[in-house]
Order: sequence, then C-alpha cells, then structure tokens
Amino acid sequence: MDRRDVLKLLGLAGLAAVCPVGVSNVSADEPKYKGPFWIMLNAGGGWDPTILCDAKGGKLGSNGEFTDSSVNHFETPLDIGPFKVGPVAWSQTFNGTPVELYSSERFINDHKGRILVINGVDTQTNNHEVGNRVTWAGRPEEGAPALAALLAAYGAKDKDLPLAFMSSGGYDNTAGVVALARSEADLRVVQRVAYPNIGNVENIGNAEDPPTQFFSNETASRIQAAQAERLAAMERATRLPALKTGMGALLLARQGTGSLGALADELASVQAVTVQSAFPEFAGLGDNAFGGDFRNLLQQGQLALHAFRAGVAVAANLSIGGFDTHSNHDNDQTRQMMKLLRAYDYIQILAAQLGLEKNLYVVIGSDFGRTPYYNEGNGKDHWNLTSMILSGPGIEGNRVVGATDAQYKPMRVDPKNVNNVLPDDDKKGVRIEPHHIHRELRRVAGFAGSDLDKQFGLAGDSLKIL
Amino acid sequence: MLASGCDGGGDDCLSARKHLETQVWPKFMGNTCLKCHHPSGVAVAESKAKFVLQPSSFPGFMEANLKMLEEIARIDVDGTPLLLVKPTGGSNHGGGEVIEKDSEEYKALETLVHKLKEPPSCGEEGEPTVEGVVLMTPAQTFRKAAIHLAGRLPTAAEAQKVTTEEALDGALDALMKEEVFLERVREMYNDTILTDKYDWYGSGLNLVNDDDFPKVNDIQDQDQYSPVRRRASKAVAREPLNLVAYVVQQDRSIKEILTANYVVANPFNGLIYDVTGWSNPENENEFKQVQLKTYDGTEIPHAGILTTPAFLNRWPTTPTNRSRGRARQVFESFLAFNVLKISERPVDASKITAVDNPTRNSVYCAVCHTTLDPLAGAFRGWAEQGDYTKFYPGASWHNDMVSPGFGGEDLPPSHYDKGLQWMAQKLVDDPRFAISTVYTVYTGITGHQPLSYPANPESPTYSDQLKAWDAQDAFFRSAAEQLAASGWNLKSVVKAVIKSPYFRGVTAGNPSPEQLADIGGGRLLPPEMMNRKIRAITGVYWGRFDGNGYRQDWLTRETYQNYFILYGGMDSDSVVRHLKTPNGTVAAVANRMANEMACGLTAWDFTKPVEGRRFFPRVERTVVPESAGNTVPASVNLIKENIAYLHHLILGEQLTPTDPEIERTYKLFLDTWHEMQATEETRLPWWCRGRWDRATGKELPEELHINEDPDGTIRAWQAVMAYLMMDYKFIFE
Repeated sequence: MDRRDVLKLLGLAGLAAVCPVGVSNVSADEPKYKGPFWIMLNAGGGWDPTILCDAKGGKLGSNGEFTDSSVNHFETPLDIGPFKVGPVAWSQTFNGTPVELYSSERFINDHKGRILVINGVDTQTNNHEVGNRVTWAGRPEEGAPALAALLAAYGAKDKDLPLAFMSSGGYDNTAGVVALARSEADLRVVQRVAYPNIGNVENIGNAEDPPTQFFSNETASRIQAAQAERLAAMERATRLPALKTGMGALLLARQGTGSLGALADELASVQAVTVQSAFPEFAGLGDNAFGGDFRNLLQQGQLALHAFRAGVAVAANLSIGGFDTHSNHDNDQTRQMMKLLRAYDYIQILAAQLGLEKNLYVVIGSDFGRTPYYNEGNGKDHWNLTSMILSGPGIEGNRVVGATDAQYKPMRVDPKNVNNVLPDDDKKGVRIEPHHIHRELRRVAGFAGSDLDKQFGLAGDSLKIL
Repeated sequence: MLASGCDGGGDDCLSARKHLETQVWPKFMGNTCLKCHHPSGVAVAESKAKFVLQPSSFPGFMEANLKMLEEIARIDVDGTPLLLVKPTGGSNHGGGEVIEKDSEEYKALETLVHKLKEPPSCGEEGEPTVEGVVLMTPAQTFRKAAIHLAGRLPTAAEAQKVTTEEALDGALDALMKEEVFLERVREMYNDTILTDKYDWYGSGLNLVNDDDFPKVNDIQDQDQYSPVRRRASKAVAREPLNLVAYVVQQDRSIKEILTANYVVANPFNGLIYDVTGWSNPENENEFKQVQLKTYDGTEIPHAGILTTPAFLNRWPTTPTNRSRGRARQVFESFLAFNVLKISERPVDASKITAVDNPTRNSVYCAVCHTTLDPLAGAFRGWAEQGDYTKFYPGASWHNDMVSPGFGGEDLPPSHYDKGLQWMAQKLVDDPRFAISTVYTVYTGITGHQPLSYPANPESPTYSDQLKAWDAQDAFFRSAAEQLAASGWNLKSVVKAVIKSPYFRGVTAGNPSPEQLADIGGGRLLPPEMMNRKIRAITGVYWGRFDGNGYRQDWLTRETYQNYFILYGGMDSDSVVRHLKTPNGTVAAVANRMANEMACGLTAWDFTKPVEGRRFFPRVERTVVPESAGNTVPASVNLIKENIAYLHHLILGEQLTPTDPEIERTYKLFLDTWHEMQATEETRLPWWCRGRWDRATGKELPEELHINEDPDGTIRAWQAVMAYLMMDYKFIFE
C-alpha cells in the first residue's frame, strides 16, 4: 500500500486527527522537503527584553545606588542603529580567568542585519501556561496548535517527513495535525532506526566488510506490504474511535520511515557539537562549558539544521529554561539570555555552512516579560509585555517595531503604519498582540489561506508588521 | 444511549444534578453565569460575590456547583428564591438582568430550585453508561491486564481458570501482588510528580544532605558504575515513588502517600540512613518505615511524598517564590486541580503597579494567590534544597502572603514547625483527592486524559459528547466511592479501571463515535511497558549483552545508545509527556525491534527440542509446504497450525484455521519460502544464527548450532515473526 492509498483510506475513515488537513494531491515521486525551514527558539519561564532589545536604564539615587523604581541595574542602554540594547554580558570563570559567553551588544552587532525586533507585545497574561501558548500558537485557548506544528503539517503535505515537527520542549501541542517527533542526536541510534533491516549499521560504507541485512530487500518489502494490508483491514473493521485513530496514525507513520535514511546519510560524517567545536574561541574550556543546558541547546539546533538539509523536517522547537528569575535576576536572567543568544548565533553560523541561511526562519520568544522593578529577592516577577525577534527570508532586518515607555508600560502603534508609535491612551492605535505576529508569519510562510489556516484561524485584525 | 434509570418518569423524575447537567449548565449557566461567577470572574474577584461557580476544569465541578446551588437555593428574598431574583436583575445583581422572567432559562432555573428543595422521589436514577459496548471476555481481559500490570502472560492454570468475572477478580487480586505491578504503580505516579528526573546515574545521591546523613559520602565516593552506588541513588530518587509502592504493596490507605510520618527505605537508601536487618539485601522492593533525624537529633516531620528531597527538589522554590510552585504542583498532582486554569482571563500588568502587594491586592494576581499561598505556607521550614531547616513555633511567616491554611482554615500555631503534616491531612480529606487518585490510575493505565466537558452546546454532536462525558464522570465517581469503601486501597481503583469499558471495550454496536470516545484503550505502549511486553511474549528482552555479560535493554533510559526518548519515553525533566501518537521514528524503531527479535529468536528456538520451544511447537524446520512443486497438505496444515499458535502467543488472537488473517500470514510464509528456494544462499545472517541462548547471551554447545537454512523455512518463519512483532496489536495495548 503506498502513501496515496493510505491517505485515501484515512480520508474515507474520517481520520482528520492524524491526516494532514488539505492533503489532496499526493505526488508520486515523494520529493524531499526543500524549505522554508522554521526554528522556534523558546526562552522558557519568561525572559526580560529590557536587558536585550527593549532596554530600559535604571536611576541612581543620591547615594549612588539604584533607586527602587529602577527597571534595571544599569544606567543607560546602548544605541545601536534602531535598537536600544542592554549593556549586559555574562562570563564564567575558567582557571581564574573570566571568559565571556556573549553580550547583548555583541548579539545585536552580529545579527542586526537580519533581525526584526518587535517590542511591546502584549500577551495579556502573567500565567506561564497561557503565555507559552499564546506566544507560540497565537491563541490563548487550550488545545491551540503551535505555529510550528501547523507549518510542519503544511510543509509535510504530499511528502514522507518522519520528523516534520521535531520538538525538544517548549509549546508543542499539535492538535493532531502532525505527529510530534522527539529529537535524538546520537548518530548510531539514528542510523539503526533509519536502516531497520541492517544489523551492523557501523559497516555502512565499508566495502571490505559490508553490512548484513536481516532480510533480503524482497522479503522486507513483503513483510511491510502484508503488514499494511492487515493494518488497513483492522482499521476498517474496528468501530472504536480510539483504536481507529491509533491504527490510522501507525499506517501513516510507517509511510514516512523510508526517508529517515536521508537523515542518517546526512549525519554520517557529523560529530555531535560541543561548546568547543561550535566556537573556536572556547577551545580548551571543555565540552560542557557554560553549562550542560547550553550544549544541549546547541545539539538541538545542530540536529534540526541537519534534518532540514536532509529534507526530512520542516519545523523544530528548541528550548532552554531558567528564565523564571523570581530571585537573583541580574545574574540568572543574563546567564540564560546569553546562552539563548549564543545558540542563535551558532544556528546562523551552522545554517550558513549548510547552505540553509536563505531558507531559514528563526523566531525567538518567551512566555511573557518580567516586571520593570525588582522584588525583595532581587528577582523580577511576571509581566504581560514582552518582545519577539524574527529573522528569515522576507523579513527586513535592522528594524524595530512597537515600543514600551520608559517604565516598560505598553504603547500602541498606528495600524496604518506600524512605524508610528502612539501613547497607550490613544485608542486609534493598537497594542501589538501575538496573534498579529502569527498572522504575519503565516502570511510570509505562504500558509495564509490554506485549509489549515482556516481551520485554526486567529482572532482579531491583521497588522502589517513584516 | 444512556439509561436514565427512571422508567417513565420523564423530566419530572430527573434529579437536580441531571437537570443541572442537561438543562441548565449547558444552556446558560455554563456561559452566562460562569462568565462573572467564575473564581476569577468580575463578580467574585472584584465584587466578592459568594456565589462561585467552578469551571469544567475543576475536578468534580458538577458536584461542587450543585453543592453551591443547594446552599444558595435555601435563601429567599421576599418569598422568592435568591437564585431566581438575582439573574432577573433583582437584589442589586451586579450583572443586571441576564435572564428574563418567563424565559426558558428562567423556567429551567425555577425547576432546578424546586428539585434542589424537593428532590424527585421516583426511585434511584441509574448510573449513565455508554450502551452497546462489547467487552473482552474475562480471559482476554486478564491477558491484557497481565501484560499491562505484571509484564507477563497468563500461566496455563490462569488461562484455564479465568473464565468468569469472579475468577477475573481473583486473578487480578493475585496479579497486583507481583513485583512488576509495583513498578507500574511507580510509573503511574511518576507521570504526575516526575521525580524520576533524579533516577539518573547517581544524581539521586546529590539530594541527600550529608550533614544529616554523612554515610552518603561513602557511597558517593564509589566508582560511578558501582551497582551499589547506582541503586542507592535510585532509592533516594525514588523515595516518593517507593512510598507509593510500599503503601500499595502493604494494602495500606493511599492517603499515606501524603500523610506518612516516615520515609520508606529499601536496602540501598538504607545504607545511607543506617537501616539494617533486611531479609534480602538485594531486594529493592523490601521496604521499612524510617523516622529520620537531622544531625542534631531533631525528628524530621515527614509528610509522605511532600517532604521527600526528590519531590522538594523536583519542584523547587526560591526566596521570593516561597514554595508557591510547590503548592501549585501539589494541587495538580493530588487534587487534580490546575490552579493556572482559574486565571485565564486577560491581564493588563501595566495596571498592577498601582497596587501595593499585588499578590494579595490585585485581582489579576490574587485570583491564584488566594488559593496557592495558604498551601505554600505549609512548606515553611523546608529549604530550597529540600532540607528540613526547622521553623520554630512563633516565628512569623511572610506577612504579605495570605495566611497558611487550607479551605479557609488557618494552620494552627501548634503546627508551625510541621505544617505539611497538618496540610497533608487536609489534602487527603478533600473530595478531590479521591478523584485525583482515580485520574492518576486511569491515565496511567489507559494513557488517556479524562474527557473534557464538552465546550460547545451548538455542536451537532454535543448530546453524544455529553453522554460520553457523563458516563465517564459517573465511572470516576463510582471508582472514587469504591476507593473509599475499600479502606482507600489503590488496588480497588486499578481493578475498577481494568474491568471498565475504557480498558476492555473491544467493539460496539453504538453508532456514535463521540459516545465511544475513550472506550477500549488503544494505547501506544511507552518504552518501559513495551520492554516488559517483549519479555513477556518472547521470554527475552530486546537488547544486548555487553562484554561483562550484563544485559542492556534498548528501551530503557540508562543503556548507552538506547531508543528510549525516540520511542516516546520521558526523562521526567525536559520531556515530561509520553508520546501518544506514533510518528515515523516510532514506527521505525518498532520495525527494527521486530527484525532484530525475529532474527535472534527463530533459529534459536529450533535448536531446542520441540517440547521446549516457545514459538514453533507444531513444526520442524524440515516441514516445507511443497515438494517438487506440489503442495503437501499435511505440512501446510502444520504450518498453519503454528501460525495460529503464533497469532495467539504474540497478538492474543484466537483464530480459526480458515480465518483470512491466517491465510495472509501463510501467504507471507509461502512467498518468502519460494524466494528462498530461488536463491543459492543457505547461510543465515550471522546475527540470526542459532548459536546463542538469547535469554542469557551465552553461546550454545556447538552441536546445537544452526548456521544454515537449507530448507528455507527458518528465514520464512523469521519473516512471520517480524511481521507479527511489528503489528499494531503488539505495539499498542
């Protein structure tokens, strides 16, 4: 049974939950996916844009210390082109010598040409669960699919993409439009999975001692065909929806296993990235310098980009936590922020090496922002305003849209020209909300107007941001 | 279809609950009234209304609302029930007139008030059920339960005996005394408390305060691969889950998982806590109650799971968080209540700054904090690292927080130094604890979350959705009642779920897919369960033996280069949910498993005498389907007999010889055999030869080796084995 038959069968069975909506024309030759590719980079817990791209300085009192109303413990933001940047950096000491991981200033200077910063984004929540959802789905309702899931389902239509939506965390609800795949960066494991009929995958490419198969290709195909027939027969016969859904999902999942070989081939000569191999300046600091979560994030990015190049994935969620800094904010928030930004830096470097940079979207976001003041534990609590950073084809860089005032309160934009910032009490203006950004991302992705777009529509009006 | 149980009574016979559920809540109260009387709604949060309606995300919300309505229904204003006065705009209703007098809504409300004051007296209302569901037989149910709960197949004696519901009951009781069942219980609870995050290469040992328990240093100093070190670490990491296992093992009240004034030690964390006297020092399921003391001799006020270092570290706190995060998790894990769901209305934080102490005084924040903060206050004395640091009687708590307590009752000063012990008792006495326990077991067994109350009354399938929810809700309430009646023995809930249509439904005459939602399970087995099932069916785990003869299973987390996460496993840290739907990689892992297992098992089984074979008791490898191009009927019959035997062994199917599935499998065998006849290659692939005992990894005596397949049957049977082991019925339950 080929994919066309499976999809036809699922359609007849009404299995929309496991069948990408809009599938109607299945190509015979099943081309691999060539882009665009999407990375959603999540700062888990609520980041603080006031130390990065919507920077606010603090005020010194007469005693030379920052006053209680200080937004931050630095005085003056840096002006870099259109960006207001927090003068913060994070370093770790190695053998008595501090080594800087990154700074907000370096991040902006390194990437200003490609990034669009959207400030003053009103999530309308201080609730992690809702904030996470509204930022990455554009809708606050429970069960809303992540944008990455929708784009993966849309990109995967007509194709066998077993890893269409890879997630390492963050908001990854799929609403059943696409199967969620976990990441696994170990090459040998990926090879074994990609070539389930080969016993000794380590011998792949070894002409002198070639790998051994469990079954001849003919037998392997016969087993698969018999299995597909049996599964389809069972699926037709069962009346229980829970069973029917599982059977349909398995039928569809099996159609995508063949193209895993492309990923294994892609990874054949790749070593798992370490902090040292990613950044020559950190040579000698150890593979896990700056924390295991940093290396883990780099590895998530590495696998996603190679999966993109192999043509087996459309979208990937990358996530790092530790941003919920209710205490010790200055150190902890800055540390996690620099890991996040340096990972973005690595993603762009590797994307360029792999020839993907012109076809790659990266969206950076978080649950919400943090208060424009410190609590008694030198932490910052939840704040509904935040920022998002976008880059990718069709997104004009070196640009800032939206704003907040000096005390990090909301401002509005002119809906006719978002470059005009208006005070919050000017009701002609609108506060930028996540749904505005999502609608724009759907548009640039070519996704707007699709069946999936209609099925999972967004509330509110559009706003020309991109 | 639901049985009303009130024959011929019509609407007059509907109970107040049923009337609320079908005529009032979905038609207007669940939207018009709830909008403002939700715990975070304007009427409650800003006008302090006493009439509070719980949304459907609140466990047992219908009962909670019914109780509230019963209280309000007693109040009259000038002879008219307040419940009718307010919505029509009277008695200073803040929302004005939301229901017109003489409207359908008013009449429905009037009927509700009447039923609340004078409950209908036309007999007991039957429990709603989904009609037309065909259940597995007792034998089929027991096979599924045995694999599910005990990781084994029924014995021959059990298979013979379990033919009635009564026998099934007895067999389930026996099953729940087995060791693997304890592991299943741990898995169910880890799905919610996620403390297995620390069951990872010695990280559990880091949770122990070496000032209080210096012997941990001796174990820490051992080689990281030392079995004792790893098992001690596991025992510490699993203190919360082992407490659950102990309570279940000893048939104690499940309430003790929160109220136990002890920790459970096994022989491995016993090394740290200086506990001796074990009957089997290797048995990780031998438990003892221990009262721990700090370095200065202070008795630690244990409160079950809540005071274990693993729980306290997994749900950490900070000086400003003040254990609110812990409180949130307690609500979610033990009262099935997601506090965050009560605060989903839009927030404009820019207005919060004008309010002093927003967690108490801003409606945006207080809506959650008035619930969270009292419970958080009970964690006083427990440090960020999970150590007991004491909280001296008389010491003040944070004055800017709502006072510690529960359900409006303040924590008594006499318990300031052991607040969690007081709180634990309050938690287990809350009706939501029983419902939460049922949810945990139900989800742990079926892999499904409880159905959500249908949200859209305008949906054409609303009525069917409501019936499905109603039937499931009734089942949950019944299971909760059984739990209480059993002396709070968790096994009563397990048994209820196993015997319910949600586990054993196999087909249905009911034509409505919405009514049948969740019936019959259909769970993609998580890797832990798949690992055990492979062993149960084949007698062998899927994995390899390393150079030292240690078994390494591919579907467990700790084996180097495993498939655990790819196959949908949780590390309980960043990956905290099981995969419910197979994706391409899951399907590929299953294919690889089937190929490897078929390869390893087939020739090996033929090395045994026929009476000792697990897979091929009906055939020899010399039994071929054709001779000189002609079918050999006797041989074909034997082959089909063995195929039917394998369908039963591997998939649990009882098929007649003429079943189309037997024919399909036979065709696979025959076509593969034909292919082998056409090739000159007779050697088996190295991996697939009968040279090793696959259960031990040891090489067989040379005279038993099977390296060649001159008849082509081994490779044909290998294809059949792979075909069956990658089947839906093998990888789902």
